[in-house]
Amino acid sequence: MGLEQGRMSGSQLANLVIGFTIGSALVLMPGQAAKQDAWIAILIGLAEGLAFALIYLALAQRFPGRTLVEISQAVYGPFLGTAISAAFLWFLFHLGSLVLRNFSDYFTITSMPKTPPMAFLALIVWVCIWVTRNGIEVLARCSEVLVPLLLATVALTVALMIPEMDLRNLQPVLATPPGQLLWAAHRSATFPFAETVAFLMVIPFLNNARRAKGAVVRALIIAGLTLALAAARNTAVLGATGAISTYPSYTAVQQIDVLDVITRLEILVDTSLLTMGFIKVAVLLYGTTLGTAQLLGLRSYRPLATPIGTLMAILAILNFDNVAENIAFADLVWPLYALPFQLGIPLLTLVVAMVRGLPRKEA
Amino acid sequence: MIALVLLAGLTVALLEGPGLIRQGYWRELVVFLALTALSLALGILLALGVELPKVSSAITAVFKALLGQ
Repeated sequence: MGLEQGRMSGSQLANLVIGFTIGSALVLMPGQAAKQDAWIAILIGLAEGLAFALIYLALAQRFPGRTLVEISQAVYGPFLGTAISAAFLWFLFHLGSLVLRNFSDYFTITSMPKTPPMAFLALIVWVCIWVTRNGIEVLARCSEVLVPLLLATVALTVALMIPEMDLRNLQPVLATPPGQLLWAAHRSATFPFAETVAFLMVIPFLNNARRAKGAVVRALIIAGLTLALAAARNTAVLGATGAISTYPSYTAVQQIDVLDVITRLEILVDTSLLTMGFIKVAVLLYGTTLGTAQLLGLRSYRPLATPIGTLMAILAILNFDNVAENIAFADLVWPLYALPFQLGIPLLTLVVAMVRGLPRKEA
Repeated sequence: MIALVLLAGLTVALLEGPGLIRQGYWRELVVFLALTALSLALGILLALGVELPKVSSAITAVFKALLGQ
């Protein structure tokens, strides 16, 4: 008997992956380092992320119904397996705290500068803890409602911004030096596309394992195209100033002004961060909680949701002193720091499993 | 602030603990209490305004040293 009794459908998984990938990325906008070529960097990053995702899917399909924690126990044995699982769980936990930090920083900077960050963190973590305690099925159903709404929001803001756009802002196309473009692309692969490695804790609960591949690939492509569209929209509206904006989507959507009536639509960007950030943190909290329970051999993961969620919010505060340190971390460290977890652990596990001929067929 | 943190910790423990004891989930109870105690300790330190090490900034420093920047 597994720890998780809930099951979800392929389309629910797809919605979950879209929500997770768009997550905080719609607000932070990956690929900005490539300036007017940001949308191209995102598309290249999507290709790199898809290549990583195929590794995750191959691993998940080799061990159907098992999470990465269980897989690594089977592949590496108890000692090394525990160490590798613990490292992976740290990654999920740390990533969750980083998303939470982005979340509180966003609201501090854009709208509520004097509110202590813990006020934002406590509210969003509370919801994430709640949904984690209710299991993956509830979270999957939440995403089924929230993600289509988000995609409609993006389409609406793009349509309303057409009058503000100047397509010459997107020129010169591909003028970015190749090294800079590829680094920007790699950065958008590690944030957000390859972060879907967290789904190695979720894919096992699909009701039909054969649907996983199509659902994840389709979802990543939809999320990637949405982000590339948003990047092109921001550049077309903001021009060169877009690249220095902390939250370009926010600044761009602020420009919407239809006959002085439809204005101040940046609330749509706030809601997108609220809903998609919720999905992302909830998936990460769920993965950490379930993985910890599996690692320690517990019979239920639910009691761990509250303390682990609280620790995630505390680590969000203990991550950085200020936004500048956060940007330095995102610029330089994350694209390298994330690789062992996003590529190293899944690829190594897959190769070792293939070499050892695991899983062996039951006699 | 500290009173609030303690109250939150107590509420969580009282909501979660009795169910675990009733079901005889001792191992789960131990892990739960350990993690709750850790988060309470950190929460109190934060409420007291103690300067704690900044985790991700420390990782940045390590990477900068490794990359020779």
